[in-house]
Amino acid sequence: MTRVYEEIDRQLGIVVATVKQTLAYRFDFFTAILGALLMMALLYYLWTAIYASSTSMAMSYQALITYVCLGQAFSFARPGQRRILVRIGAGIRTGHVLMDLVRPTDYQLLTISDTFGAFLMETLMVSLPSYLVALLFFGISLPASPEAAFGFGVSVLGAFFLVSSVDFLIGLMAFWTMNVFGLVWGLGYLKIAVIDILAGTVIPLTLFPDWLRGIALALPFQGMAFTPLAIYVGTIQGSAIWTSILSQFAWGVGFVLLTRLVWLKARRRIEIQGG
Amino acid sequence: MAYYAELYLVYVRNLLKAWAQYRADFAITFISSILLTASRLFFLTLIFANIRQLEGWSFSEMLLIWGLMVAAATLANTFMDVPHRIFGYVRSGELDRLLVRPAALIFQIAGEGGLTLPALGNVLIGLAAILVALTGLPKPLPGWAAVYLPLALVSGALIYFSVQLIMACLSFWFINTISLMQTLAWMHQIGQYPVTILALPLQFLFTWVLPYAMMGFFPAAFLLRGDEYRLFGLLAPLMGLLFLGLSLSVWRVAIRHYQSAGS
Repeated sequence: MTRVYEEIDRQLGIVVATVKQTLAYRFDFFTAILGALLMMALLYYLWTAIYASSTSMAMSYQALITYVCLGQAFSFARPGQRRILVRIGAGIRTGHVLMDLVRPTDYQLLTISDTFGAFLMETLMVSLPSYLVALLFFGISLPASPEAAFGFGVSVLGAFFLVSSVDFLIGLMAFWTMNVFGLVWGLGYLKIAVIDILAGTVIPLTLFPDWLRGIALALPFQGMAFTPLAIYVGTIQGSAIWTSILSQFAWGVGFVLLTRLVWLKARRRIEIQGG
Repeated sequence: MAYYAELYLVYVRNLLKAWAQYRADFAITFISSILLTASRLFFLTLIFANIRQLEGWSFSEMLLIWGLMVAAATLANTFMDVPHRIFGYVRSGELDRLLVRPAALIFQIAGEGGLTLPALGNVLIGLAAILVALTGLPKPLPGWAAVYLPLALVSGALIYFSVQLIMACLSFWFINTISLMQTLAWMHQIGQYPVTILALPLQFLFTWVLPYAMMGFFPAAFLLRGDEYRLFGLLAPLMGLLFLGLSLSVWRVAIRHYQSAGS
C-alpha cells in the first residue's frame, strides 16, 4: 500500500507543478475567457438566427442556447488541451523526452497528471467564469435537475479522461514516425475537426440527420462534449445519465489499456534526437 | 523589384528542399488541414439540414460567402504566414540576423517561413466552394463579378494578414499576445455568416475593427443583392489596402522599439 501512496504523492506533485506553471501565464487565462465569451456570443446569435429561420426543431430554443454556450465554456478544443501532444511532440524533437523517461514514475501517468493540472486550472480560471457570464448575460438555464448537475460534473471528468487518453495514443505515434510537425499540427487539426463534429460541440447531435446521429452515438467521441452537455440540459435524463457516463468511462478505460499496449511497444523504439 | 523576385525564388527553392526531407509530415499536415476545412463546410450542410434558408440567405448563397471567406483566409495563411513567426524571431534573437541584411524585414520573414504549402489545399477547397455556389444560384452573377471577385479575395487575404500583423506588433509593447492572436484568428469564422445576425456592437466590431465581414459577407451580399449593400460592397476591396497600410505603419513603429534579446 505504501507504494501506492508514494505514487499518488508523486502524481500530486506533478499536478501542483503544472498548476504553478500555468499560473505564471495568467494573461493566457484572460485571453481564453475572452475567446470563450466571443465564441459564445457568436454561437448565441447564430443559433438564435437559425432557430428563427426554422419551422420545427428537435430542441427547444432555451435548451439549444444553453447547450451551445455551455459547450464553449467547458470546451475540450481549447489550446491548453493540446498539452499532451505538445509535450510528447516537443519532447521527441528536442530529446527532452529522455528527461521525462528517467523520472521515477510512469510516462503515461506523468503526462496525464500534467494535463490534469492544466485541466484543473482551465476549469477554475476559464470554464467557470465563462459559465457564470453565460448564466448572467446569455440567460442560459441552470442544470435540468440536481441529478443532472451532479451527472454533468462527473461527465466532465469522464470527458477529460477520454480526451487525454486519446491524445496520448495520438502522441505515441511520434515514437514511430518521428514526424513531429505533422503529428502535433496535422493530427491536432484532425482531432479538432473530429471533436467539432462527432462530439457535438457546436451542433448538438440531437439536430443531426438520423444516419449521422446513429454513427456519432456509436463512436466514443460523443463522450467528449455531447454526453455532459446533454445531461446538463436534460436531453439525457433518468437512468440514461448513468449508463451514458458508464459508457464514457468504459471508452476511456479501453483507450488507456490500448495506449498501454502501444506504449510498452513504443518504449523500446525510442531514438533520442539531439539533446 | 527584380532583386526581390529573385530572392523569393531562392527562398522557395530552399523551402521545397526542406519539405522534401519531411515528406510524411507534409502529407499528414496537407491532408488533415483539408479535412479540417472540409469539416467546417460540413457544418454548413448540417445547419441547413434543419433550415431552408438563414435569415433569407439560401444554401448556395451561404456557400458563396463561406468560399470567399475561407479562400481569402487560407490564401493569407499559405503565402503570408508571417505574424505568427515574429514571436519566434524576437524571442530567439534571430531578428538581429535579419536586421543586418539588406532586404525588407517583413519580406525576409515571409521568405524564410511565411510560405506554408500544406495550407494550399484549403485555398482549393474555398475556390471549389465558390464555383459550386455559382452553379447553384438561381440567376447568374453580373459580368463585373469576374473582376470584383478576385479583387475581393485578395483584399480579404490582406485584411486577415493585417489584423494579425497588428496583433503581433502589440507584443513589442505588451506581453506575449500570441494566445490573443489565435483567439482572434479563430474569430474570423464569423465572416462566413451574415454579419446582420449579430448584435449592433458586434456588427460594428466585425465591420470596422476586425473587418472579417468584409472578407466574405459584404462582397458576396453586394454580388447577390446589389444596391442594398453597395456602400460596403464597394468598400470591401479597398479595406484590404487600407488595413495593409495601417498594419505596415504599426510594424514600422513597433520595430523601432525592438530591443534585442541579446543571446
